[in-house]
Amino acid sequence: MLSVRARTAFVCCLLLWIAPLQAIDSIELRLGQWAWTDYQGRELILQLSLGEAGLELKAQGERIAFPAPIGDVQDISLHCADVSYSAGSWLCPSGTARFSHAELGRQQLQFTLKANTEKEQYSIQLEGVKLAEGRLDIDLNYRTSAWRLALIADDLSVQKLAPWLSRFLSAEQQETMAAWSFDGRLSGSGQVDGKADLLSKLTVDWQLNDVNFSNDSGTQVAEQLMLKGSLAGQLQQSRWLWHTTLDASQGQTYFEPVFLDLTQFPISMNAKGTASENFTEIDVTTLKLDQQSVMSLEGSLAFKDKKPVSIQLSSQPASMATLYQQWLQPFSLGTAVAKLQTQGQLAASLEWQPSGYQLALDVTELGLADEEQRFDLQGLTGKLGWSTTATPMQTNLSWKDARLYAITLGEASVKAMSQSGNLYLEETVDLPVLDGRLQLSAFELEHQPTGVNWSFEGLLTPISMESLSEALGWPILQGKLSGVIPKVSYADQQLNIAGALQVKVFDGTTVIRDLRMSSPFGSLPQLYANIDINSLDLAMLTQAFDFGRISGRLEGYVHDLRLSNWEPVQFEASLATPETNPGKRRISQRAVDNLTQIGGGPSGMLQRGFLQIFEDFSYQKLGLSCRLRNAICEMSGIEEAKQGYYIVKGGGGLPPWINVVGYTRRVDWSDLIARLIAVRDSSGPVIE
Amino acid sequence: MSLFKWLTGTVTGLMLVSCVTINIYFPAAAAEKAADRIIEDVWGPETQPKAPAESEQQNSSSLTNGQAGLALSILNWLIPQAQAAEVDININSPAINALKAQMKSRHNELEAFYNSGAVGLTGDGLITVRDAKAVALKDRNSLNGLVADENKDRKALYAEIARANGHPEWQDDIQQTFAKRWISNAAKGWWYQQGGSWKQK
Repeated sequence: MLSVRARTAFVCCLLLWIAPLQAIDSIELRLGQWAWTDYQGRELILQLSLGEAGLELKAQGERIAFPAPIGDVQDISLHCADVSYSAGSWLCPSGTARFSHAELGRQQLQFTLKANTEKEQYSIQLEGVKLAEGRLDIDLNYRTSAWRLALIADDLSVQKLAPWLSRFLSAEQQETMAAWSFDGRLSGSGQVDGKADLLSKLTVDWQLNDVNFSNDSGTQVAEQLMLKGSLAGQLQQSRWLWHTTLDASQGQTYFEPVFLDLTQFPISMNAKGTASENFTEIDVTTLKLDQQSVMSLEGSLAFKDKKPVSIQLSSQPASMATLYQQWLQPFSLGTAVAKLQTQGQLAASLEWQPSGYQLALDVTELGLADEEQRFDLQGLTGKLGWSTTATPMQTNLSWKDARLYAITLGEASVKAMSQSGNLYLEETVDLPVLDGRLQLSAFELEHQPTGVNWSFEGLLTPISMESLSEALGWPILQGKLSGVIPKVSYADQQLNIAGALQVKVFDGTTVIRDLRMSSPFGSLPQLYANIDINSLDLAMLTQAFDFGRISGRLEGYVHDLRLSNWEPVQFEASLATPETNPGKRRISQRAVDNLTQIGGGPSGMLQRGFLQIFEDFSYQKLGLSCRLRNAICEMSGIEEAKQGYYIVKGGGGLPPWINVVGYTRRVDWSDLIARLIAVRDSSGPVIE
Repeated sequence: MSLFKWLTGTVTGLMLVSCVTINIYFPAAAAEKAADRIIEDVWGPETQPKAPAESEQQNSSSLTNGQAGLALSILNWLIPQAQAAEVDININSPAINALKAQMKSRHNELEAFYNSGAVGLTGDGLITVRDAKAVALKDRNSLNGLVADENKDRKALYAEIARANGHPEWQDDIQQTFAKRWISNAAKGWWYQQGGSWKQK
């Protein structure tokens, strides 16, 4: 208990003690030009003052030159409201810094600094760094060469960041960057741990909004993407363990030729693996790639020196329709499979090494229908194996329905084996063709740089001409088609059929040989053949075509026939009454009338009145030959007449006989066909 | 007596008609059709289908001058040195007509792309995507398909003309001839390749 006098004395002493201190309330240091290790400065004013809170530090500088990559910092003003020093550490818990930087612009940020120069321990937090139109918070901890850097980024413009990034890239990478245009907004947080200049741990969570990029030629473009991802890595015993995810859920991309609408079909990727310290070797132990409603992949990969050394991928059964539309169709432009309506399910698995690969496709009720009606395959089920290495892969497929142009093929199954880039049949394929069968054996398929080459041996059991003519839209013919085909081969857009097809129709034998097809699925399929006709019964022929009645036999040929787009455009044909066994030769009244109609109507009709009383006429020989080139038919008959050529020569049998003489040498082919069709369609000649 | 007369008459009559002759005049091949119709048929700008050759001569468009010159230049160029063969690019077959019809309907879709510069004519008678950026991302695939189909049809056309002339090996020459004609017939503002660089009409 102090007396009042003692307390007063105490307070006075205190005041006396404080007063001299307040007299020295600030220290100011002015440095004109200074240098310290790598740092240089100009016009630095340091002010240390004792305020109510504690020691206050204010610093102002005109210029400090930091070593690269930071560079010059100008117009600096630092304020630390409460500087303290304890146990060898300087501490500034809440400071404000303002400065100008050539690239960063005018900055105003909050900072916290703790520095212990003796123990080499530094801790600095910067908040509110204005970078690339966004904000960056930096947290750096340094402890005798071990450091940790944490960054939080908010809405940085990628375009503005690019000049900064380019500092860290090689000249080659910089060139690639220059060819691209891109922008987006980056947000995220990350943490990096390291020692000296080596990384040891990395964790990043990032998000990119409104991403747009495009390369020079516009073959790789993205619009309004939203990407989200994470990357975590840890160095353990000189090997990296990493894990990364990527989600793309908005926007559209085009990587020629594939177009992806990520809003409709978002993609997500999840991968885990290891890597060597310098990243020359990368092992993806687990990869999961998922494109919603389209496909789902799983697998593992390994890379060495940026090149893949092994790939294993397998997919879940995917809907063929979406898979075809998204991924397969863009690569098939200009081929036979570019316009398909598909259905069913497809699952695939792939094993790849630099020496080759094995691919297995599992299909369930697969349907492939060509939009141009050229072919159709339905109900395809089974497994298709393909191997370019010595490891064999099995194929076991069956289908329910098939059609090639107008020809219906039926249910069949295939058992095959694939090895070293070839496919071999293990069993004869029994393929129903219309109402006959085609037996395929010795099928071989190989994949060449020019395309796929295949060949087989075939045996065609008789197909009725009724079903064939019905399928092709011809008038119904009677007869049979069969053939032994030693070899059918396809290479380089050319289909070759060795051997011959025999058609028994109209009681004669027609042999079709040297059959060849060019660009079967191109714009103008070409069909070449040589046809020899023997002993055709004209009566049956004219009856089938409802032309009247001409009895007799016919033989001849159609050589060098070329059908372009299934229409005859070129041939050399000659048909005539055979020398031996010509049979009874008569022409009916109606046939004569039809002939005159083709021949221009009234101009061909002579002696009309007399003609009417006869039912039919006799002839000795008939024949016509035509050389078709460029829509013009060069016609001639069995022998020359005074001015024209004899098509029918009267004689033989009983009178009346008939001569038909043609006068036009160069005939318009399309006109002639039109007249033939008109005659056939008409119910009969009009007799006036 | 009357019976004898009747018999003679009938027999004479029969003998007169015992050999009948019918004359047939098949439809003759038309005179030379106008050359270079294929391009005009396919692109046929705002004009109507062409009238016969004579009226076209009276037409004062640059096309007709080109046509006469074309026929000559083709003859001069395509006739091999060793033999003088008759070249006829004047092909009118159902196959060519089918191709032309296909190309004509495809042209309705392609015209907008020619105008915008997205698609241009190459120096060898085909077309190619010149400026992908002029096309929306979602349409690029279908444009690539159109271009691929058009080129397929054009190659088939040149091959067919060569084949119809009996010289399949002339396909390349015919392609070159058509290349010049396509460019010459191109509308204003369309792009074409010449000497390795793009030019605009």
